[in-house]
Amino acid sequence: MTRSRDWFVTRPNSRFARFLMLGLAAFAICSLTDSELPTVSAQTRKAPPKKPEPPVQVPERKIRISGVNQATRSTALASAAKVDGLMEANYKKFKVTPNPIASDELFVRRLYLDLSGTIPTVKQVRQFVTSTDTEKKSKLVDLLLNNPAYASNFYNYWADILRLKDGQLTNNVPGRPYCEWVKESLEVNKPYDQFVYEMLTAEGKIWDTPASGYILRDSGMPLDAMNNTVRIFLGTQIGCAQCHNHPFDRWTQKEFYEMAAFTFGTATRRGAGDKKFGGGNVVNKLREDMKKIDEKFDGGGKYNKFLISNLFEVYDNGSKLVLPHDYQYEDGKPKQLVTPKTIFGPPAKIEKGESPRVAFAKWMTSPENPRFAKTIANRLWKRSFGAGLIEPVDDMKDDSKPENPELMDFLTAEMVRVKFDLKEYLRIVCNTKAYQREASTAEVTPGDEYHFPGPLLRRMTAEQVWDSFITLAVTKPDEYQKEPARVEAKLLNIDLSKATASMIYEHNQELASSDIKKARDARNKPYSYKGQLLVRASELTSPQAPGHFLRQFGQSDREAIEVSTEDGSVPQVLQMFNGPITHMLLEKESLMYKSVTAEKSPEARIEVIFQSILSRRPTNSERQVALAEIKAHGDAGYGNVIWALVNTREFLFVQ
Amino acid sequence: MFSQLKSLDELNRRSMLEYAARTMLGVTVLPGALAFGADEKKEEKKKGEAKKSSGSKPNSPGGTAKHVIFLYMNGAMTHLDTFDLKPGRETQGETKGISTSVPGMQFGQTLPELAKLAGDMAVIRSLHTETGDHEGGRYLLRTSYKEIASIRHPGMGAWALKINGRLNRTLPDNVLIGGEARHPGAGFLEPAFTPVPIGDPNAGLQNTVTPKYLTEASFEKRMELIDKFDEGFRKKYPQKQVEAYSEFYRQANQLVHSEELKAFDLNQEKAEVRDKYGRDQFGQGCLLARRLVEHNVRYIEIGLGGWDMHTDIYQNDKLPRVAAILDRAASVLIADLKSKGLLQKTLVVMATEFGRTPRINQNAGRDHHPGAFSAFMAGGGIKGGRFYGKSDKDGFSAEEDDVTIGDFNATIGHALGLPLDKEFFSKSGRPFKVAHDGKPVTALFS
Repeated sequence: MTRSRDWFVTRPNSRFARFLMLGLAAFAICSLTDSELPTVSAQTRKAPPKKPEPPVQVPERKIRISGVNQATRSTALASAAKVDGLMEANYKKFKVTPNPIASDELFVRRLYLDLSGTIPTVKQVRQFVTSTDTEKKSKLVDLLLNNPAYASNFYNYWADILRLKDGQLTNNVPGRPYCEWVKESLEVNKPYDQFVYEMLTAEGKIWDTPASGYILRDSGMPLDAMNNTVRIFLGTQIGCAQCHNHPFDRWTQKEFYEMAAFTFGTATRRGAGDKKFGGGNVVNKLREDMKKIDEKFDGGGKYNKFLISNLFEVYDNGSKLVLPHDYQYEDGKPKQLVTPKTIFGPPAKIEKGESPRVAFAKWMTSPENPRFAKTIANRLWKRSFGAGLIEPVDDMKDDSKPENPELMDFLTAEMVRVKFDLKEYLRIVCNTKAYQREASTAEVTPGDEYHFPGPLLRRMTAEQVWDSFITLAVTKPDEYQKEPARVEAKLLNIDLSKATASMIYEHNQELASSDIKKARDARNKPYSYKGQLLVRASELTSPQAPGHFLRQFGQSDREAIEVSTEDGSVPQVLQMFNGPITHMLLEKESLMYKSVTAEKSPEARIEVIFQSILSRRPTNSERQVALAEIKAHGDAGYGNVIWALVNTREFLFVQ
Repeated sequence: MFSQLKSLDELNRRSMLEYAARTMLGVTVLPGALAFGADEKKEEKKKGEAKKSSGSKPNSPGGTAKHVIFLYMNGAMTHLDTFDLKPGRETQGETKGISTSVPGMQFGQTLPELAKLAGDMAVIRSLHTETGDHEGGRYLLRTSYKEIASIRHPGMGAWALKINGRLNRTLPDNVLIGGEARHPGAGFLEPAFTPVPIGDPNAGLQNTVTPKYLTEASFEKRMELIDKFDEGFRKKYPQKQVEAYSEFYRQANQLVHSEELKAFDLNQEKAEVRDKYGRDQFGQGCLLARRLVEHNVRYIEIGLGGWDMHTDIYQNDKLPRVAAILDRAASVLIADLKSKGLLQKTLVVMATEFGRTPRINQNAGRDHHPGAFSAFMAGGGIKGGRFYGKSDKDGFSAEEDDVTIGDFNATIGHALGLPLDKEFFSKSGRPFKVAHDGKPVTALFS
């Protein structure tokens, strides 16, 4: 080899000659030596032993996936046709010309992004585009609904709504078990009404009943908790009525209190002196004992992850809610006892021996509830089209008029008919012609009526951008799993009435033990690159630190409901210019690199690059530009083309 | 004259967009917008920008502020325990008052350093709103408007840039340090005015160094390639969200080649100076803000979270901890600006979305309370050493000289010399003003 064949990057000096000798696809980048891109295979799941040490066991969670039922396929397709019928009528009514049906290339990209949360690989694109099967679209819908990536994708969606945090959910209580429960619920496609019911009625500690995380998330804020619940699941905002009659809706402060009364008797924390723990202040007692065992312990917060977290559990203590001391309306007196009463729909009946909370959960998740099914039907419509039939999706009012009322009614009824099976519902939506149309090209001003001639153009969510990069770079990104909650749970979950100081000391030692650390290293190392863990967003800690790629692209901080954004910023672009994520694509271990080098001719390589990144073939003029670039800069030209393509708006937006 | 030019610029830009909207969506907006020809657009824009870069602003009898440092107390700061003491009342809780450098002015005991600077501070104690919801409160505080689905209103930083123009042409001129995930940003104004978020002030602006293997020329080449490959898409989707990204690409490209980037590098400061501000994110954020002001950056917001104290408010890790962070960083910031002669042209504002309940709840905390709360301003022409407005005896409602959020933002606008009565039109043709209909508290300036 006489000519330097640096790949993808311009580096004329020959310092990297040793790489060049390695083979045809010689490659160099400034800091290749300190990191290599993960290639994941079954073997690398275990740490590579230097000496003949026993292999490190990496605890895994068994994943069960429930997919869609083949038997209901034709029914779903018939429902989709009905949706289209209602859409057509609406187009006529508003004299709207629907957008043309999207090309296979556009469709396959959008469907992967909507259902799997990532762009498709070049292989997946080609498979779909070249298939002559007339039913290939609906088959792809089923395929993706049955794919584990569905749970990963919708986990990100719910993490934003439910404010999922792996770290502290509330005072020393870890959120990890709850997060895992949400993920598992999506994997087994738990019916949505059951999913919500379990959260609302959960009893116990986070480790024993992870669904209790929902109530623990708002620990100490019983009124806000009700406000959040109604907003998330019933698409209604009653929060203003917490302090006074709602200024823009019909809710009165009394009605707010009547709703809050259902869950006010639900406690989240036991006192350290609770008789359950044997009397006396169990926390102080254990702290004193700990001092004898751990010399360095000053009686402070060091052991709170055992002592305080185990005080937290969801249980009903029957507390009664009274109106505020300064209640100012005619319909009640200050400090008057409030009787639970629901705000709309058939009243909730509290059965004998049943806690008001259970009655409330039944009322809320019932098919009879006028807003429960409607809210989730509208939410998922928005997830698919970029706008809800009712906007905002979490602020419905009595007089909120859906853009297409007949369609809203039909979708709500369908949600009930499929028994809150969200995959089945999405199967209907994704099979509609409306969904399969091109995105609207013109600006849609917020507040203007949108008649859904097709989906809206949307910037990818932060997680979609990230996961798409992972798809481009990592060979088997879906094999990585976060550490299962049980690893820490079995050490953190203790019974304070029986716990001893020495036991807590041991558990604490074990938490920090080298065994746990080794397993973590073995889990993460094959996926680590320049300090970044290259795995699906749903397997990363939630939320990521403010400077992380995901946060820069708008991932929620998990402090408020649905605060993720799709706005641009200068730091995002800097990340794209100079951050490790765009450059990892140019590394020789990356999937991108391998796919390109698997082809011989520049034309074929350019085609792979375009289909990998934009899911489409280059136009003639784009091909010429790319060829000229490669001709001018040799192999580094490929790197420039790849880098430029991920920096296009076309890459970032979902058409 | 100048402000007229700029309004032309605004109208022309709008007219183009609206023309596009009309032809494509079949909707009519803003009658008269088309009266301006598209040809004028470029020229007017150039003129406007040339003027803007000189940093001049329309004549307005306002304060002397060129820069704003907005200290945002996220989560709703308790007013009764900080700036609005109610000694002798049950609602006072465990907080005790301390004397300040100004006779008769007392702050909470957790603010000893700020107390020494009371002479520079005008403390408003009669703010009030209607919303007790964090999101709603934050939005209102930053925009003076209630959050609604159909439009996004601009934050004050975006207004300042829009009207007074950019001060620094290369560095981001509107910076948000440690802000929460959602910020109204530039609202309906040009995306270029969106604050640039800095997650961690210690890390500064990340990813500003181009990989070593790239030469200047090859970087430019890459930029050209992006444009070529993206041409078709951008033509097909002439939408603001797409244009916004193109703008961010332009700005980022300019930035990576700028010498001034070191303004973002706190390592340029001595360790003692960094310690003085406090090594927490807020403290370092304040230091970064000072550096940015020195580099002529116009608007900086820094967030300090942890004020949402529903439980155990007097516990060590709650009020005492958070107030100490504020006290240290804000006092050093004001003193530093003063000693560097920057305070006169820098308005330092500290505010929060609402107050906390006078009555201490069963969990030994305070809940949300929009009826009365406090904020302060210093520098930028503000005359310090006094309280403005009053809440009632228990800090429940604003009682005297009440100040709405609109008034509060109008006061900031006044300090910056922004035209408060002027209407600006959103793309859909709706009129908006800098501080809604707020009236500036001009008494603070004299």
